[in-house]
Order: sequence, then structure tokens, then C-alpha cells
Amino acid sequence: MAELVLDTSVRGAGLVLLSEGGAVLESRSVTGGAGSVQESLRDLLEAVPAPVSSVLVARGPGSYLGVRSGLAWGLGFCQGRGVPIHLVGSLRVVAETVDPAGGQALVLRSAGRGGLLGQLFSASDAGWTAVGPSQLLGAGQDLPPSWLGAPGLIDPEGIAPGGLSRRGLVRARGLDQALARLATTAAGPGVPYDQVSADYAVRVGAQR
Amino acid sequence: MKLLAIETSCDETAAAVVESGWTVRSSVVASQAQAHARYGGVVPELAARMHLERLGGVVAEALEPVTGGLRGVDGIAVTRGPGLVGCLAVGVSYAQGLALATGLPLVGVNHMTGHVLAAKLAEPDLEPPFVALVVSGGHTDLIHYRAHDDVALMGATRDDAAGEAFDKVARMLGLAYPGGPEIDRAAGSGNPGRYRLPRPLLPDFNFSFSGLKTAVLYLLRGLDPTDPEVVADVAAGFRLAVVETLVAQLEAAAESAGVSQVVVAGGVASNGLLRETVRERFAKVARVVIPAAPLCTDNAAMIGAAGLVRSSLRGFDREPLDAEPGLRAYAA
Ligand SMILES: [Zn+2]
Repeated sequence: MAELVLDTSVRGAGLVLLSEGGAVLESRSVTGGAGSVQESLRDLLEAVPAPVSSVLVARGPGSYLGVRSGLAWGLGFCQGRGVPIHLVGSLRVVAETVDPAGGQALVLRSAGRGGLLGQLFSASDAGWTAVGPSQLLGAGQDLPPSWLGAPGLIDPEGIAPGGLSRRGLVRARGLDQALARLATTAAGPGVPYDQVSADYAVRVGAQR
Repeated sequence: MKLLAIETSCDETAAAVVESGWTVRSSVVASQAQAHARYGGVVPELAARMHLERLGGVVAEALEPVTGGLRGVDGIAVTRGPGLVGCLAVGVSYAQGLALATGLPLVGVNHMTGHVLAAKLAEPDLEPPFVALVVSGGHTDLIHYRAHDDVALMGATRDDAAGEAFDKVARMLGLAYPGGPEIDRAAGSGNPGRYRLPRPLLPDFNFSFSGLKTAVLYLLRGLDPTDPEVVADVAAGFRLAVVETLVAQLEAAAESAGVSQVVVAGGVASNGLLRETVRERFAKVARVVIPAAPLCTDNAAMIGAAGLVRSSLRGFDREPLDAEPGLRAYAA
């Protein structure tokens, strides 16, 4: 049995196939549209012919088309195989690229047009846990005070605004390792394909 | 050959199972019209989100009459364009996930060709050549359908599509969205001869409804748009002007192409007056095919029909598909 994990909310989509124990069996990074993602997924599943027992999809916030395509692909695949789908926040995926060394961290990501997406996380045994929902800030909008006090900064795109000092955290693991970690620690019981709600889309970013 | 068909190009989430011989085994449409009505038009982001929520259930329902469900179909047809990019992406990606999970082959089809081929589902013995008038919220086209792989656009709207004009005039008259059925209802009790509106006839089988819309706007300046009688009479006059314009151009196109069959398709083809008028005008000169209303508005059965034709002509798609929002109407 294998678990398929995909994050298409970023330009370089991450596709990972995990063993039952959570080891990365095969992974791909894809730039390009739905067609290229499909090609890489086909390739990935051919490389590891183990039956897929569930799919984990990053549900946003992130690229408008990427998030929707990834979710739709996951729903179609899960319905076709009769396996559950797991959804996880995309900023949580970013958080998992660094070791939870303790305390809190702020994840920042570009929302396009000078806007920012941010979410606070705190460290726990199960990795990073979100402290409240993600926030979308327009260009020039004041930063929330809680962001300024966050001890750690995860800023893979190097977009920290002036009010935040750089605290030196970058992607410590690759995206595939982060997705693997999430799949083994954070996935929960999964959702049948026909019970996915639209809440994922509330904070979809502005990269139209 | 039995195809599962998926349509998500605009605001209808639809799935169907269509079989060789032009048999519709099932056709399920979850309309979002109510959700968009309060905005007076389709909100693309809301539409894409609703497709995601509903598509799985709609497909499951479409598969219900098929023994073995997904194992009982031979392939999947999906709309690849034209349409709203986020909406198309949901349908195309979902179909690709489903295809990869099941090993079923996939064929991407042109939504507008689907509208035309709904006519095959209505009257399976219809064979090209014919001229088709395709009228919807986004298109007003006259096409010469010479053969399944030889389709020429004869004329199109230069500005608003007929369906769009219905929506805009409905708003001027204080009627709800979508405007087509609302104007139809209001016009029922109206006198179409009370206000004479222009019939905008352009050369080369083209259309322009923007001037007609402006004429309604000027007409209403001198009237009381809250008076139900005024609303009914303006609605009736406007509907008649649109229908007469469409039918006059269809007559000219059919004559120029020298065909003895005409098809009327697309959402606006569910308009009662348009159907009646076309049947009346062509009664002695050509065979008229107008699909029943549920096959005229967006549905997946028509996508299945287009999938059957495309897969038999060119086979299934070997390369992965991308959503093509700007796909040229009727392009192969
Ligand atoms: Zn349509």
C-alpha cells in the first residue's frame, strides 16, 4: 500500500508517493499546468505500482488554479479508487519544511499583487500546529501585532516585510519530506470524496 | 461504446452517460443559477468552488443506471473549453484523476460542438450537412456543419450574445437573473406590437445586439418601468426583435449554404417563441432539429455526444489535457 500526496498550491507542485511507514518511495516536482501534473502523476504511479490507499491534498491558500486543480484531481482519483481524501492547509506544508524546534513560527507566503499570506504555528509532538487561521494582507496593510512577536520566521520566498526581522529559517527539508511528514502525522481519518466542503477556498490566495 | 461525460465550463455541474446509437442513459445537472442570481451573473470563483463540491455526487448519480458503475463505461469525455478557466480546470483535473485511477481513456471535447451535437441525441438520423444557429449566454453563432471534421463559422455576434442581451434587458426591466426565462414569462401577457424595436441585421450573417439593448434603454426613459403593463409590452417587443433577427439570419445562412436541414441549439434555443418561429418559417423548405430544452441548456449528455464523435474520428487523447478557456468555438 502507498499514500499519494500532492501540493499544487505552489508553482513548483510537489508530488510524493509514500510507503505505509511514511518513507518517500518516489517524488516529483512539477512546473506547468494541469497537463504536466497529470503526466508526472501517471509517471509516479507507474514507477511505484503499489495500490494507493489514500490521497492527501494541500487545500490552499495558494494559486487559484493550482489549488482547484489539485483538489479536483484528488477527488476524481479517490472516487475512481474508492479511497479517502485528506486535506491539509498549504501554509502547514510550508511550516513542515523546518524542524519544529520549539516555540512558535510565522509562515509567510506571497499572495500576489504585493499581498501576503501568513499563519502562526506552534511546535508540538505532531509537528507544527496552526494557531488560528491564515490571514491575507493586501499590499501596504499593517501587519497584525502577533506576527511581529513571532519568534520564528519561515519565509521560503524571501518576502518578509520591513517590520519583520529575518530570523534565519529557510526550507530545512525538501517539499517531499515536508509532505511525507504531514501525511504521517497530520492526516486524520480522511473524508469521503463527496463530503469535501468548500471551506478550503475561503482563503485561496490572489495569484489569479 | 459507453461514455461517462463531464461538463463544468460555466455554472452547471453536469454528468451523463451516453452510449453509441445516441442513447442517453442518464443526464444529471446541478444548476448553480440560484447561487449566482443575487449577483446578477455568474461569479467565476463561486462557480469553480461549487463544481468541486458537487461534481463527485453528480457523477455518482449519473453512473447509477450503469451496471458496474465506473467499470461499466468504456471511456470519459470532458469539456476542455471554451469557458471559465477555474471551472474548466476543475472538470478537466477531476476527469484526469478519475481516468488515472480507473485506467479509462479520456477524450477532451469542445463545449460549443457539444451544443450542436445535442441535435444528434434529439434526432439520431440527422447527418451533416446542416446549418446550425447556436445561441447562448456567451455565443450567437451561425455555423455550416459540412461534416463532423469540417465545420465553418459563417457568422457570430460582434458584441453581446443573445443570452447576454436577455440578461441585460431583464435587469433594465427589474426582472431577475437569468433573464431569458424571466423575459419569456413577462412577455407572455405583453403586446409585442406596442413598442417597435429595431432588427439589427448585419452583413455576412453576423449579429449585434448592443444597439437593440440601447434602444430599450432609451425607450424606457419615457416610460414607467414599474408599470407591469409596460414591462410586459417592452419584454414582448424585445423578445420578438431578438427572435426575428436570429431567424432572418438563419434563413439567409441556410439559403447561402444550400442546405435542407437546420439546427437550433444552445440555452436560448429553449425559448418558446424562437422554436415556434423557426419551425414555422422553415416548415416547407428544410428539416428543423431543435433539441428539447434540457438538451439546449448546458448539460453533459451533449458532451458525451461530442465525445462519441471525436473519439471515433481521432481516438482518445493520449496526451494529458489542459483546460483551454479560449478554445476557438467548434475547433476540433
Ligand atoms: Zn453552453
